[in-house]
Amino acid sequence: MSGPKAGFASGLLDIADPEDAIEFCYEQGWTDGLPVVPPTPERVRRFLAAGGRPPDDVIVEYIDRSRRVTVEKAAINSVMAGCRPDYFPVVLALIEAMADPGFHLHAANASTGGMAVGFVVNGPIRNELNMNCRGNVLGPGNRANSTIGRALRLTQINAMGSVPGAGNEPDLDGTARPILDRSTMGQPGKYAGYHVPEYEEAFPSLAPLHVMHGFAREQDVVSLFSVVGHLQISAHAESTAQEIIDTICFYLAGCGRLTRGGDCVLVIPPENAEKFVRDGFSKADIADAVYQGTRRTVAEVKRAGGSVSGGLMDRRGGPVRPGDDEREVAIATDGSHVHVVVAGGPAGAFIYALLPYGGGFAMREIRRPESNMREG
Amino acid sequence: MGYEVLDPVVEPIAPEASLAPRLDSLEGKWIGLWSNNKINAVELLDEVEAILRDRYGIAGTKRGTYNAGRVMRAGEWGDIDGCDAVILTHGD
Repeated sequence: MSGPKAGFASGLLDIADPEDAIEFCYEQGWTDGLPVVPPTPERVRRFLAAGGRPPDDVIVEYIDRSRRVTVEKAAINSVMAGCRPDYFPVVLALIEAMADPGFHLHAANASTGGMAVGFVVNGPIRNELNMNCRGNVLGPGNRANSTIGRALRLTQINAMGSVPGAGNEPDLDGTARPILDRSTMGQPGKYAGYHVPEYEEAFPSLAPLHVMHGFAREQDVVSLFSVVGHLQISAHAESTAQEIIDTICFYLAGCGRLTRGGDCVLVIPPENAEKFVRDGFSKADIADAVYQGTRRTVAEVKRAGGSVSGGLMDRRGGPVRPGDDEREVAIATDGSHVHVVVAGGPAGAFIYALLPYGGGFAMREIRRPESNMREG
Repeated sequence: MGYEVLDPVVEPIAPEASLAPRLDSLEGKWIGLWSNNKINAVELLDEVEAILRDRYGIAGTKRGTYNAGRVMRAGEWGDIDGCDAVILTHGD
């Protein structure tokens, strides 16, 4: 291995034959199990130029693990994920959001609960990057959707120490990195995240998520949250907005994720959004109705045979204790923590609830290279 | 000509910290027992407390909880400053 050179703080590693580069990356333990693009200096330089920020800028001061994630490390991992350079400002904004104390980064990186990272992208940059906000929005098929999320995961693995595989601890020969992603099961969302560019143009009366939070419609903004999993709610047989709300609440109340504090993201497809608009529901109305409809007291949950987490955990069938009739849980902290996003294909009334777990919600404006350069 | 790639890994920076001085004895000391709020944490701490009282003559215990998922702020630790030693317990 060569030391730092050629203007990089990161070490350069020599590979005799370029044909071996992908296998070499596997051997180093740098991948998520899928092949990566070898992070050559020239590729990384293009990302740094597109990001417009000094490579030694620290994006995340990760105190729990005594690591500092720099722009350069983010660029290397973004190259490996298969991003294009013009995606890099989005990746940087998302990693910045990870450092927000409200996001609870360490829980997302370490928990046995196996949280994936979810993100919404708002603003003109969605279309400039040809992100897909329509059919299969949460699935495969779009380079920006998939690789931006993958860049986050590779950054978590390589720059934040979240090497997966608990239970497969290597021989203690001092060469392998410790396995610090302690997820019991993991989940498919940990490959590329839950990626949700919002379909802002579909229903102008439903304000985009970033506008709901005080940003201007022309601003480019990412919203980051952790997701323990999702629930697909079929709402085809519901003919009014209130019926859709009732169905959402019926399923969410029993999904096992009622909480004292957390954020739930509801991805509403056009077929359902149309009915909300027709019946005069705003996003705030939807969010508040879902919160109200999922409120339960701890006593109610216990009497129904359930258990509740977050400091209220009790053994199933445990006694109702003093105060349990007053303490409440719901699918989110309150209505302002239910985030409604419009996305998805033209046919199908499948609402996706991205379920909360431990983490929070953080937003960051995406800084374009020109504004980055001005500030720098 | 060879082919070069950049290392994506961030190695930890050893924090500037040292262990607190060891207690000579637990006798007459206040012991903090902090739980991570998960099942069995409190039960485990109850057992620890019983042993500490029976065998070591501690002055007493103070109880608290903490969030293992993030760095706790100074004001979130309750009466931890009133303890001579603290045991953090992970139930899970």
